[in-house]
Amino acid sequence: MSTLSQFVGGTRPPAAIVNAFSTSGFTVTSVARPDLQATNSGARSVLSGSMPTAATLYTILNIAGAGAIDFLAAWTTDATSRTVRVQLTLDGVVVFDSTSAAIAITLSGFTVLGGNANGLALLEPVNFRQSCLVRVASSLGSETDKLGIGYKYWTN
Amino acid sequence: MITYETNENGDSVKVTTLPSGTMIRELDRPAPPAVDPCVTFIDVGPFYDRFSTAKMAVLTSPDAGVKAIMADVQIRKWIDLQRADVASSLTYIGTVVPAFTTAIRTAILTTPVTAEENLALRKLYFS
Repeated sequence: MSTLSQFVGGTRPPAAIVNAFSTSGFTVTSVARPDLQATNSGARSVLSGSMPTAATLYTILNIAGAGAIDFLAAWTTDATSRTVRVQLTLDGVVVFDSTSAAIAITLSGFTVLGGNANGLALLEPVNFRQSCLVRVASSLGSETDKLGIGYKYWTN
Repeated sequence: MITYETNENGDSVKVTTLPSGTMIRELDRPAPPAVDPCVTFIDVGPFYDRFSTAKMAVLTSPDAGVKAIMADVQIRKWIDLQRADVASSLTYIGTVVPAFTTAIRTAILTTPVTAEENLALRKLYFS
């Protein structure tokens, strides 16, 4: 059966987010500075907390309800070499799940959604109707607060 | 309504329940500390300015080594004052340009870079 949102698309969640970082194995540069992107975009930034097991996803944000997310990024907080994985699940559908190549630079990482250039915020609201789940992983285990995560969302 | 719970790793999780019924669980960790990666980076112009009273003597030096150092500096986007080759280059300049004293060299390398001294690189490359 057709629904209106199929055609207007305004509140329809995406099936996939494709960008420069959506294919695992991508490299990042020292000037990417997603932490600054988060700050300049007005995003909330948090440390990753305890991540005891390598390559295991840990939940940062879990929303049960409708809303939209327009900024999401992850970065390293030290120069220890590790890969960084971010998974974004909207309405139960994994729309982004990608792992960087090894990053050995402090404050380097990538943006999943949003960003800014020359002080101009480039926000891309992505809607969800039922749920939004942000999880991250590191290739190293027994780590605490070695990743920073920035996100910005609203609820309906 | 806001409550707190603990996740499987012992970290606090902030649970916000909105009147609409939406429930938000957020890892309750502080923001990452701000680390400035360009605190020792200085724009090229202000780097020259740090030569102070010896600036013109250095810039007009006929010494081939000094000329090479200045040419090298000019093609850089910025100068990292923590780099060993910057310190050794300044040491060399001091051996051939009498006006470039040890005190000037030390001041160039150790005076904290002000926001005005790396405004361009921050705007162009780190914003």
